[in-house]
Amino acid sequence: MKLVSKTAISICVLSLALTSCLKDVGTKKYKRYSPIIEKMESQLSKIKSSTPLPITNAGKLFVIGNYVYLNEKEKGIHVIDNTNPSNPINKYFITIPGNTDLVIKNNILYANCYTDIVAINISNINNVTKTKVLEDVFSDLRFVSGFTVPQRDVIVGWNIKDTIIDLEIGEGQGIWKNGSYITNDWAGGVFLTGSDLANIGSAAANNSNGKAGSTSRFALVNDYLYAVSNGTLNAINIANNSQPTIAGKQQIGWNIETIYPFKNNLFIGSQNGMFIYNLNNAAMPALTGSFSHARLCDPVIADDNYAYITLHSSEDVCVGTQNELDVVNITNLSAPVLLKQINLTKPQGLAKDGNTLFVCDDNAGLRIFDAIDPANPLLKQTLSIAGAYDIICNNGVAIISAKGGLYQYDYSNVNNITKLSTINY
Amino acid sequence: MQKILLIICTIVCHNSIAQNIKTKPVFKSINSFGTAWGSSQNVTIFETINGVSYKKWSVGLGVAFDGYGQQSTPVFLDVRKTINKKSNLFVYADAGLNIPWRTTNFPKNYEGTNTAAFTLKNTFYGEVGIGLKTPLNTSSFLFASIGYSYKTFSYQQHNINRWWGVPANFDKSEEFEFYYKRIALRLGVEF
Repeated sequence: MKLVSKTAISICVLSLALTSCLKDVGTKKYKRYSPIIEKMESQLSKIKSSTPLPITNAGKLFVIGNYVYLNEKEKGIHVIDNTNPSNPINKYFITIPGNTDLVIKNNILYANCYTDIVAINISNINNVTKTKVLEDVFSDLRFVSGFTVPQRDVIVGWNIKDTIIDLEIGEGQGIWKNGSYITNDWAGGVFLTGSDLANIGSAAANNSNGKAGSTSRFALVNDYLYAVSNGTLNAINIANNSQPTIAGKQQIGWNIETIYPFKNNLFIGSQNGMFIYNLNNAAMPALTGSFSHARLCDPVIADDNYAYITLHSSEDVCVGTQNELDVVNITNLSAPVLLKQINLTKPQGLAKDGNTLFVCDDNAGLRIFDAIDPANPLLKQTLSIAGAYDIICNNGVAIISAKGGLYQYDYSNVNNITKLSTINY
Repeated sequence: MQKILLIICTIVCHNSIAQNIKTKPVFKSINSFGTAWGSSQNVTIFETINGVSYKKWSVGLGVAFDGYGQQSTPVFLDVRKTINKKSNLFVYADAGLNIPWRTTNFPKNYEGTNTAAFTLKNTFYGEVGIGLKTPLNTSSFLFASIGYSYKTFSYQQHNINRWWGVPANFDKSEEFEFYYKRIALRLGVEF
């Protein structure tokens, strides 16, 4: 009995002692990023042509004549001789730091170098020359992920540091209660709250000088280059090809991603919907109509009566979870009407040639639809192309930019589509 | 807390009958409820341990419900020993996995308005303690125990909207680890 009493006393003392030293603790591990900043002038000075480089991280496409211009994300442009689509030859590389978008007219390449649009004379591909720099067109690129840099400075890369911080957990914190995480740590609480239509008809992105893809931020219409940044529509007069000038600039919203021209209209894809601008005043396009959808990434193409929009989710950029092809009636441009939704895997770039609609569906491959009834496209077959991203249809040849390579298919006979070539990355 | 300590003392005072320790291995089931008492909160806990006992030793596999911090199901190995036959004093040690529940706070996928998805991890769970038991009849006992309980909870949070300070296409995920240290007070029956 004596032992029992001692034990009871010990337990009581022990519990009080432990209570005084008990404290819940927590840690958070994450990567801390800090920008590497350089002067724009130093980046512009790096623009030059050179012998071909291996394709490693392909982006958007532009096709003109017998050449395919393939963007190497943030690095420049591969110039590929496609005289024989069965045997394309990677011939040159044009270094353009920060480049993502391009179009070409009359031997003048218009490409972005980070915030600027640069006109580059490529008539002598061995020695390309800058003819004009339009400064700060993509000014939103100076405001990246919470970092802001002054005009003429640019973020060219990121330093990454693995970081561990202690989470302060006080009384009643560090727990999950009534659907909320209770903490006094700000960072820990963040989550608490939580194209190209190459040939629609024969117009579209089809200008006399070349074809851009549906994921492009650039569109050529007559003497104008239209360029969309995250929130701005820029009208750039290129009547004098080598000396482009800003003719108009207007704020059109947020999260703008793509632009697609058809006849007298621009179809602009944003994460929140599609906007239609008419070109009655080429320097200052006017909003005609819009079509809203959940917040998703969305290239768009269009013809006289129908617009085709691919919506895809993205962990990096877009919030929504839908992945689908939307068919929208645009007979009345001021009041587009959704006709059909087709669920896909992660659709991105798309193109339409005649009655055939092509949709790049990421790792699911290239979806090919029979669009004899344009309002009700029917899936006919899927080509196995991993990471299909963007497509241009050019004279019966589908040129596809994908994660693993540049693919070309002959679809002149849609019932017997044959692979012509692949440049593997 | 005070009430539970009082109960422990009551058991101690009435514990005058020595346990009849078995000489052959026999099945043993230990079932209890109690409270986990830490700096963040106090929660009710339950556990059941089933195994065998032999002489002064018993070993079993335990499963518990533990709502501290984040609801979870610890699964663990329990070893205990009667250290004083006369008073029925015993010590125990548990070690195993803490398996967190996927509650609505931690959606697996991005759905609806969710801007984060979570990968929950199985982490360490352990407890050591001491207790007393008193016979209810020839084969069952009432017991009380006090222990130091250590529970960890860890998850990876995949963010869609963590853009502030994180460039697009870079890793936006974060890893959280929580270490909960509690006093566990239990009452239960053993048979």
